[in-house]
Amino acid sequence: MRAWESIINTAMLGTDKPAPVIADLPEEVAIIANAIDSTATLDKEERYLQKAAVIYNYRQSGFVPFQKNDLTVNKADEETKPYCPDVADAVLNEILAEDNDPLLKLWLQQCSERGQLLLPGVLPAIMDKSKGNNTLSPLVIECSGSRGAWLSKLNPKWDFFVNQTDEEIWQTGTPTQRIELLKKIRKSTPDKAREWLQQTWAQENAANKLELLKTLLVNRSPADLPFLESLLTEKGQKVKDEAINLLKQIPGSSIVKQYEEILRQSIILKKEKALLGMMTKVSIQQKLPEVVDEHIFKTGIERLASIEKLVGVKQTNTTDEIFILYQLIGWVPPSFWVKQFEVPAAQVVEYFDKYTTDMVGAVGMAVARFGEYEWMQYFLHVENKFFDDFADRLPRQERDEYILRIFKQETDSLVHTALFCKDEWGDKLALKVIAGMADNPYKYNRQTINQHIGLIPIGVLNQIENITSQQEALRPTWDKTRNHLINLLSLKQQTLKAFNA
Amino acid sequence: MQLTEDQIYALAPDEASKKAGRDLANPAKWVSKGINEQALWGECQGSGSKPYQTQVDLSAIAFKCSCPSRKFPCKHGLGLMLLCARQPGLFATSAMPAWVNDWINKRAEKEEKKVEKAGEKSVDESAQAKRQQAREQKVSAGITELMVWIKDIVRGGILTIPEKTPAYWDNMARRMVDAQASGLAGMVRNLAGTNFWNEGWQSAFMDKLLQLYLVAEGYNNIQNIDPDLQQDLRTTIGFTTNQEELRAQTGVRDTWLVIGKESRDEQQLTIEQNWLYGLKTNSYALVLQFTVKGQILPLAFSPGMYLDATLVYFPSTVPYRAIVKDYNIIRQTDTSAVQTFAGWQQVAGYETTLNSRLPFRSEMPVVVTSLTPVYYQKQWWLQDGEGCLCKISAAYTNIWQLVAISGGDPVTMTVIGKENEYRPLGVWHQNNYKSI
Repeated sequence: MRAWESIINTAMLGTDKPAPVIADLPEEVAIIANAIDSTATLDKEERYLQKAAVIYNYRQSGFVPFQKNDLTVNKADEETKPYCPDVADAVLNEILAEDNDPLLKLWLQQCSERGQLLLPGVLPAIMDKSKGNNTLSPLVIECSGSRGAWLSKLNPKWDFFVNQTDEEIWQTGTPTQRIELLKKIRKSTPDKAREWLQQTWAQENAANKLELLKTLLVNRSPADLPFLESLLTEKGQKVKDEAINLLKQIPGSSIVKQYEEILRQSIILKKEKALLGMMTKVSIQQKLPEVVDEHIFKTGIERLASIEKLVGVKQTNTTDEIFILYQLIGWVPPSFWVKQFEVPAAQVVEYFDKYTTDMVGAVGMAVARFGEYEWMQYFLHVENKFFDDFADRLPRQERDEYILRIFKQETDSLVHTALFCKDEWGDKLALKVIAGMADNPYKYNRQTINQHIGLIPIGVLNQIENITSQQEALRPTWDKTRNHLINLLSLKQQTLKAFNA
Repeated sequence: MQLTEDQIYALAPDEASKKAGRDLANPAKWVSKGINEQALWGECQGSGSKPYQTQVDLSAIAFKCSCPSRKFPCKHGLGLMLLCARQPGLFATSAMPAWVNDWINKRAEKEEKKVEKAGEKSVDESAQAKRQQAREQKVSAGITELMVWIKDIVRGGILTIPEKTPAYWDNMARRMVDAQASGLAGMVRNLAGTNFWNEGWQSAFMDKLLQLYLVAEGYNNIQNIDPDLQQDLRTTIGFTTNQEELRAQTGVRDTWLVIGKESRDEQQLTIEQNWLYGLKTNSYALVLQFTVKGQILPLAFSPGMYLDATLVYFPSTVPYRAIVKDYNIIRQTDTSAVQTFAGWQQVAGYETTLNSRLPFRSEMPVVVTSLTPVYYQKQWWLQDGEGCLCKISAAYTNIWQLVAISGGDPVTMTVIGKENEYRPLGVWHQNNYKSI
């Protein structure tokens, strides 16, 4: 509005300077302005202020909205799934206020399993929260419906909502998007993931190669061998190391074969007659061949025993030779020993436990590395040894009993081990773990509860109130942690109730 | 109880109280609990040997708790209300225990006494007139100085205004306080608060300066103007209105929806603004509450709350600020018949009428139907059904929530602002009013 611009221009310079004529005044306002100008009793500041006040009100009263009828209509598609119930939305707001990711994940899982959607009002907060969180974002995408997808197109910070085909992402996506896509494909169609990677391998830079290669760890199989073996000549050391790491975990690879060959000569089951042939004396010979192929030390086998690298081996009296054998056993499939010893799997474990106790841990590691989980059962009765590599693969009740049995006398180890579980504990284990936490509330604090609330079953909610620290001095600290635990567990209970009503 | 969880959270004095209240919304924390039409009560096991006795007057949402907290409402009050809102089945309807009964009765007695006292109060009218005259003289003297100051600004030009030191503004604001014109002092401070970094600050600054001039010059000519406008000038300058006299008036009875609530700190005062909309009378009201830290607010409103209430407006050419004479919180009412503005043209017409009556008025909310948030020329606008656009204030932070709720469809919403820039206060979504 030109009249107002004139007022501002005069205000900028000050009324001491000659003012330009006020432009574009409508007749009624011009009459008032003239009347002000012709009032002799007013000084020039007052004349200016009075005219400015009139034009100010003329401006704010004469406001005409700006009209634009040709803006493109941008609407979200209709939802095909129902929204979650209000009560679930209320719990979600509580969870967001607690800023607890495990509970948020549980809520989203429940919502997704029931084929329901987040209410629109909460979408921005949830989308902000799940950005960069690979665990939450797929669930958020699923529970956000078409409203979420629509929002993601409007706000670049929510670009994790995929609006392209897999092929498009693979060709043009960001490194993170491509890695996530390859992970997804590797889970469902492992060969396709490898083929895609092979096709673009030459064009990838070293950093991308390393990260993309890591995705092949899932569902690895002998079909990957030709590609992985070809990577042993890669220039980049890190890429080569990753390829070796993968090859070491696939039966039949050149590296595994080489290890097997050395072990075939080194670990020999010996059966000798004793007591005039009435008994058989069994022993396991552990001795490296005179000449060991130096190549194995280029595949990650350490030459010298050092305490920090020893896992599961008695740390004293461990020679370099034993240490090398321990590592090699850990990198060959357990089924190798069935052929080598010519005994069934159960007996392999029994022999290792009985005659080379140190090495049974390495066989256990190999079970997890080569996914030969049918062997697990034979390790459960190995005394005083906990095989954390595969404990989580056991059925829940068996896992709990295993942990409770092994750590019967060591509460702190029990808590420590239980916190590594991936699936929810049973009530019995949970109560034992919480009691252990109560006695060590500075170590197991609110942070621990926040991270591991997913493991604690709601079945113990009513019993937690009675769990107290054995040391009186620790009780006030534990009471605070316990109250926090009760709150989070209540939210967990409410979440399950809201979706299962 | 009629309140939703959102409404209860809106009563919390701060974020920490919200969180603590949430933690206490757990049945295990409450040794006993009960509810009836008048009150909600419970005993919460705290760190002490005896449980805290928490009680809520449901007719007026007033709290009392035996805990030592200075916050109001305390975490126990919030926790108890949240628990009741979430799991009403846990609260058996029963007779009030003695400690609740005593408090409810005392509150009723106090109200009665207040009314009686108001009736009994005798006023020394001549002394009051003398005081009034002395004050008017002080205000006039202050305004004379203020006019000189304003003229100095326009004479020298506003180009160098952003370089002025805080003392420049503070001195004049203090002078206005000395002249017993606290309203003018606030306007001077508001002038100093102009964002001089913004492009176009000159226009925003001149708007405020001219409002100040209009009030000051209007007061100089107060004898010649309409009585209601005289009241507007006096209120804006800082003269108080006798609330007892207001309370004695009939007022406007209606079903009022709380459409917005905001608090701001000014000096050592917290000013709480509650915007209400009368569903039957199609009128807007602003209820202000002033508190110093730790003081209890007499009214506890939260957006989305429906009140069956009588409001008395302060005398004005544009009745807007009001006091609540009496109220009851009621269940959600059907709002399908709410008379809203159809679009920006209508809003512009309405604002023009208001500006013609009171050119220095403050921003007022309006309920507008069918507004769609649209992104155009690198900023967000609200577009009405006719294609007219008004900007969404850049200071508005919940734009994405608004966009998510709308989904590109028009929604009915409450906005506050003027001319072509507005800030959303709340939106109707799935038959509920939601503050955004």
